[in-house]
Amino acid sequence: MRSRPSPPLAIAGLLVLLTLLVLVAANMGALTLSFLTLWREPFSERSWHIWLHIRLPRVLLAVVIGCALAVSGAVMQGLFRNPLADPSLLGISSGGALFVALIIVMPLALPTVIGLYSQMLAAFIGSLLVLLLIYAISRSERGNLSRLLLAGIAINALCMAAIGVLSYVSSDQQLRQFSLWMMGSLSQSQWPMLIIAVSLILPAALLTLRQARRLNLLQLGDEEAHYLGVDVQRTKLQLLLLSALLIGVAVAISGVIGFVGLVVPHLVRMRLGGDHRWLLPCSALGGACLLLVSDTLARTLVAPAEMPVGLMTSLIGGPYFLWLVMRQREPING
Amino acid sequence: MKPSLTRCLVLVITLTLPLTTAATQRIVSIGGDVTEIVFALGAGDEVIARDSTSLQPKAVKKLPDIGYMRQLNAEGILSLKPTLVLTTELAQPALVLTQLAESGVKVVSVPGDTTLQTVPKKIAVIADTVQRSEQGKQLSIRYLQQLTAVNTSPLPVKVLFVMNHGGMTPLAAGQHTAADAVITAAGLKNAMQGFERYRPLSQEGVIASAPDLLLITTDSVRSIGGWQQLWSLPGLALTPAGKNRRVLIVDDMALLGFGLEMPATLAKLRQAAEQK
Repeated sequence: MRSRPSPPLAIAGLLVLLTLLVLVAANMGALTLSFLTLWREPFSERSWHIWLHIRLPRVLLAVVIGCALAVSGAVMQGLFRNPLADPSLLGISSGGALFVALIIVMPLALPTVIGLYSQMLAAFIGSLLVLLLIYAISRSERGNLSRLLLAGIAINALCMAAIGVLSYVSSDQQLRQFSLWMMGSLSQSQWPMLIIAVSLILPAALLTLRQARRLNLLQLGDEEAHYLGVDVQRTKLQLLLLSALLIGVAVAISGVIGFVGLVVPHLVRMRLGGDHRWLLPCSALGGACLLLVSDTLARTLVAPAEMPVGLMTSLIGGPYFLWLVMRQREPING
Repeated sequence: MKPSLTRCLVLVITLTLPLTTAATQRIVSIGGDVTEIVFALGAGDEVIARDSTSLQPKAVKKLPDIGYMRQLNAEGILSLKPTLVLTTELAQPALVLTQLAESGVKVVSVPGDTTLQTVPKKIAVIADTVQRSEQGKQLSIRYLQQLTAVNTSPLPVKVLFVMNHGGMTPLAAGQHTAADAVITAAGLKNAMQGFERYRPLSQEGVIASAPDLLLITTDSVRSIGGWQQLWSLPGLALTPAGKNRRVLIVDDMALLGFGLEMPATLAKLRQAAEQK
């Protein structure tokens, strides 16, 4: 066994890494607009404007969304006591996507304030419904892995089919709006959007961190956790709500971005072990790093054009997932 | 819900940089129809980049490609240092165009409706923007002359338009599609009646629609695997078009782009329909 780095050191290391990545990402882009140019032309209003209103919000949004995806992934793996739980694998993201499609195709007359949040609200409700369904199925069979995964795949397929029906009846304009959003992109980044995202993700992530100790006790089993003084139902419900909120916000803003929620918690677990008090914050930082790198590549590799960021994370995450599955020694039906 | 005509005509989002009349522009042109018109007006040498749907005229292919017009990248476009972005109103995401305008680039949106009357409007907007109003007027007159030269009196020929893009099932065009607009404009009848937009081809639906002529684009023929494969599309062999092997293959942009090639396309379609 490899020697494990001490958790506080890992957090510090990840913080340094994330800071460095943010600096590099803010320095990189299709436009040669580095800190150096900003320093040399401190009064070039145009450069500042582009940097401040186009590049910076996007960099920060990648950090926030990556954080939300990874934390929700880590929570779900803990909650289901299942290393393969992942929002996009179990159909939770597509549940959110389905409800966003509903909102786009059948817009409700909502007051403007709610209207701004309506996509997120829809994604939250959709994610939560699928999450509750999966949770019910997984509980009835005491954590049977293949059953849970199959149920997830079925729900995923159902949601996708329903999305297909919706796009069949939608108008051209709605269809375009929707398919653009489904591809997964952070190009909708602007300050109001970022502020909304932070105002929802930050509190949700902090509340999730507060549940880390109870999530640890839940790993021993429901009964054991109960004897150790955990209000099992309440804790689980809280965690479900929080992770649905995290996924919902992420899905609403950036579409379905896969693999961040699966890969990052695993990497952290391999290095640090399964203690959620460290796993959750490290996953948050790691997720932010992964999505930031992916998005920076997506917007610079094919400049002046742009790739869907979901493609990038899947390209990085897909092979890793395959390796993970092949490496698993115990039979999956265990 | 269509935006009012005035709003549709030209939507100059903002103009923050002072533009002198003599200065040549650095134009990024988005949309195949837009690019084609810019070049036809003689402003082609001011174009510095194009989107991936802009393939005509040939010279344009040498220019940098900013990607698909519905997946624009604000920074990528700005890195080319444009002074003017001429874009079809169908380009997305709208936020990117707003960001460009806020960064001091003049953004002009060109109408994207699929009607024959839209073409002169497109020409007018673009000609005014690139300061070639006179050439624009001439181009419009020439377009309208070419258009009136095409016989568009009603002809009882039923046309089926099939679209097939890699990996998807072939689709038939219903009402409210660009293809339907072209067929109707040529005085012909769309074989597919009773639904809007594109629907997958069904064997019985195709046979029941009894088209006399199959209309398809070059890209679609390519993804079906050659024109020999056309008659194996669901039900097609059992239709009048299939029995008489009547098909017209047209370039994608010429047919659906609603640009300058429209009169020529209509004439071709008419000719194919009149042959017996």
